[in-house]
Amino acid sequence: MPQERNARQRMMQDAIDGQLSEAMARKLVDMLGSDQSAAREYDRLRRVESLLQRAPQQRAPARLAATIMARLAQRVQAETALADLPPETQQVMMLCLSASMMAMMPMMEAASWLVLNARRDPELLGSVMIETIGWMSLVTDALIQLLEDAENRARSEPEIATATLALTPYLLRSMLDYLDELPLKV
Amino acid sequence: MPEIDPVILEWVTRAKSGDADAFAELLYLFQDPVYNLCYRMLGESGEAEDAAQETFLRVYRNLHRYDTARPFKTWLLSIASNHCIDRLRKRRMQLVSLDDEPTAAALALRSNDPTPEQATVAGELSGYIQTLLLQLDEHYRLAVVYRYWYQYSYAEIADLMGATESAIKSRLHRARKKLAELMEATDRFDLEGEDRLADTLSKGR
Repeated sequence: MPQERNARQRMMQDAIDGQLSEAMARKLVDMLGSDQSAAREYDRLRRVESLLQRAPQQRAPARLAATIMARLAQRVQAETALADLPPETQQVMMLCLSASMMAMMPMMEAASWLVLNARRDPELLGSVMIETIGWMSLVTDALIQLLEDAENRARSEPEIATATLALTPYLLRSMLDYLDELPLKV
Repeated sequence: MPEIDPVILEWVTRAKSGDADAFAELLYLFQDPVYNLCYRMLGESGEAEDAAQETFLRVYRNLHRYDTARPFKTWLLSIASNHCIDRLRKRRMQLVSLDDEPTAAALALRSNDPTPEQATVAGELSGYIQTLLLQLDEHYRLAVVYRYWYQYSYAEIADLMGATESAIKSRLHRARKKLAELMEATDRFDLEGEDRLADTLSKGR
């Protein structure tokens, strides 16, 4: 009887959470006394609870805070340096970003189409979501890296910004080609 | 919902206006809970360290978005957990196996650290729990971590994970059932062994 089994399990879990009324607790005790398999199951759940209650905290490595503060200092320095870029270079960099976002639109549309078409099948929807989120993450990370590198270089050579703008469509194309070659697991 | 600590709020306000010392205070206070969450979710100390760093950098960038009506720790942990789930998704995308043995707990020696014996036993227990945790689906794992490492209520976990309270309850029930099955399958931890661990750990508390 799956329903009976579910009700029994719910009662055990509620007991472990301390959320069982007195009457239900008595019912559970009676049941555990008369059903050996239920008693074993309850014992296993209590062992899990006991183990998790004692789970030790993992402490951060001693260097963590210092590393983060150093990275923050670098970031603030980089942001200050970017603010010093000539206004034309800043505008070109913004244009690069806009062009990249526009170029990603078809991919976003394709991802939406895939998700909409897969929603009737939970298993397929799960796979499609994993795939599309993975693609998006890959492309977004690559773009962030590209633009950060371009910003850094534009500080010493402002004309680099224009070259980046010209190269952006080709780089996006290459990324899409790379994704195209990945085996689709959906 | 836990009360808002005025000292933390003061540090947040100062950090928002660019006070690096105030941010450092927040960092020192919350580095352990953030690192622990990353480690429990990702299962590997190097990656957990990277994830904890990235979490704090994101926090710094998004301090202006922090809603001061919510506890800062809750907001911080939600950023850490979202980042860890993103990393796990990317890891799946890159076809990296999740079945690798997690590294044993690497406990840095500090003045208030446990004795070597306690550290070894804590590491053993920690490693064992980690092996079990890594076999849970990431959303189940996160619910377990919030519940047992941070003592959040079902309502708080539901708020953190954007789910209903009954969904979280059901997730935790399934997670505990799965863990019970895994424990039985490994049978490495007999009751006697658990008691020994509990005794040694309780001496360190």
